[in-house]
Amino acid sequence: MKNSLGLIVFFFFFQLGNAQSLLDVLTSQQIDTTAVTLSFKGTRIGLGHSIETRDRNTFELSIGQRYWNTPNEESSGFLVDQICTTFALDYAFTDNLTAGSSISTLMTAANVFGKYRLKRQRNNDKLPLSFTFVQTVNYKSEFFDITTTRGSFGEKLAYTSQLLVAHKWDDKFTAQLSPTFIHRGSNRFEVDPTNQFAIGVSGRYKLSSHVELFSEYFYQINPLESIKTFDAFSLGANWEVSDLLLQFMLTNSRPYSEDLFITNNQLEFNVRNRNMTFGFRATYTFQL
Amino acid sequence: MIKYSILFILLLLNSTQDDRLKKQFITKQGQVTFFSYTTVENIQASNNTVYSIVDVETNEIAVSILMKAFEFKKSLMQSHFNESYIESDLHPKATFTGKIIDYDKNFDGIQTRIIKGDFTMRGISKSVEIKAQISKIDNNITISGETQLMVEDYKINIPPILRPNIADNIKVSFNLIHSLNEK
Repeated sequence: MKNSLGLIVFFFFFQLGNAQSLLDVLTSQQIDTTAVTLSFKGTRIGLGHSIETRDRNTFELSIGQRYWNTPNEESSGFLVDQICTTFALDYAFTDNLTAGSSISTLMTAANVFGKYRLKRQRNNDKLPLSFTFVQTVNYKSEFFDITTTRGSFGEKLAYTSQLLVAHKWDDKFTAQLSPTFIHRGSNRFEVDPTNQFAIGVSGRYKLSSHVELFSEYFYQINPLESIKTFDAFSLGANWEVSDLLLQFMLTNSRPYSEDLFITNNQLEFNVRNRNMTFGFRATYTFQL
Repeated sequence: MIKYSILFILLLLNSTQDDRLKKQFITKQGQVTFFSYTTVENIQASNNTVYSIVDVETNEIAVSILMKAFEFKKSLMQSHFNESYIESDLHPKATFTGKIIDYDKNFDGIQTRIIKGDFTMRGISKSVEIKAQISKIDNNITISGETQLMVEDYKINIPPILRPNIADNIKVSFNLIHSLNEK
């Protein structure tokens, strides 16, 4: 009798199951496995690259400037005593492959990079992570000092390899880890390591559909020996105005290329003059 | 005796389950396309993976549309659509549930019928009436037609600077070819 009662209860629930609406039938079968999009608004978070690449045939043209005061008495006090400027052009050859180049004034550097999306995070993904690999080559034309110059072309180059790993939690929050390896063709002092390792930690929080806050921190595992360096940090906001992305940030890092801003940063992050740097970047995106 | 009667009920239920399935027609590759025509810009996007199910016994229909599956000519537009306007991370699907009014399941040609129901997008439900052509050929039920949606009904936030680029009235056309639900 007990068994029969159990069966009746079972049938009751079985029938309930049958009574599900048509929409429930669809929902149970339609599983969203689309790729997670726009983990970050831009292809750069602030200082460094984000996992994002643009889709095929997209150009990104950007102008970036960083401003800071000198600690001298004759300082203007408006964070515009000195300036570093960069111009950059990126092109997406495929949805996964982007290449770009830039020039910047500080330490007179020219930079080329290739960026490849290894994996996109998907909805209902077993491994809900995005992976992107970035390889940059940076050329520094400046002298070491007045008497010593860099020798061959190879000595003026520095290579940065980064594996970017990101997870988008929800529509607002994304975090990224950026293990970084830097190799320099030459060093100013022999005590300095030619190969350096660092780990970047970055995150963004979307305030509205057009504005996000971001922060980045690059921890140096084996810093330079000859000078005291500080880990690069940034705090800022990205504002998307249709096809134009405006970035505003406070940072302690001035150069634009990875090998310089991660390892060669001699300023601590604080609001004192000389240290406090204001960064601005405007990126215009257009698709052919 | 009780055991036998329960077994009988079980068989009966099983057969009703089969009957129910025989009356349901489903598609997982339905097409929905929308158009926005303005003097500044024409925008068009298509989705070819729309899920739809029709029950010819009750004349009920349900449609589920994954918003991220809309493909635009320019992927930049697609990003803006998902990120800024539809907010696909928050509202991944648009759904429709309704009833085909006066549908004759035994008629083999094309019938033009009104489908009455609720369309839900971005968490906002509006009751709509859509005129559709319904045909039954080779045990496939095809439902096609077009309708219009008002942007402001679904509280889609368009920045003033882009207002001229997007029509107030979005034309939506659909073509859903259902076959017998075998699951």
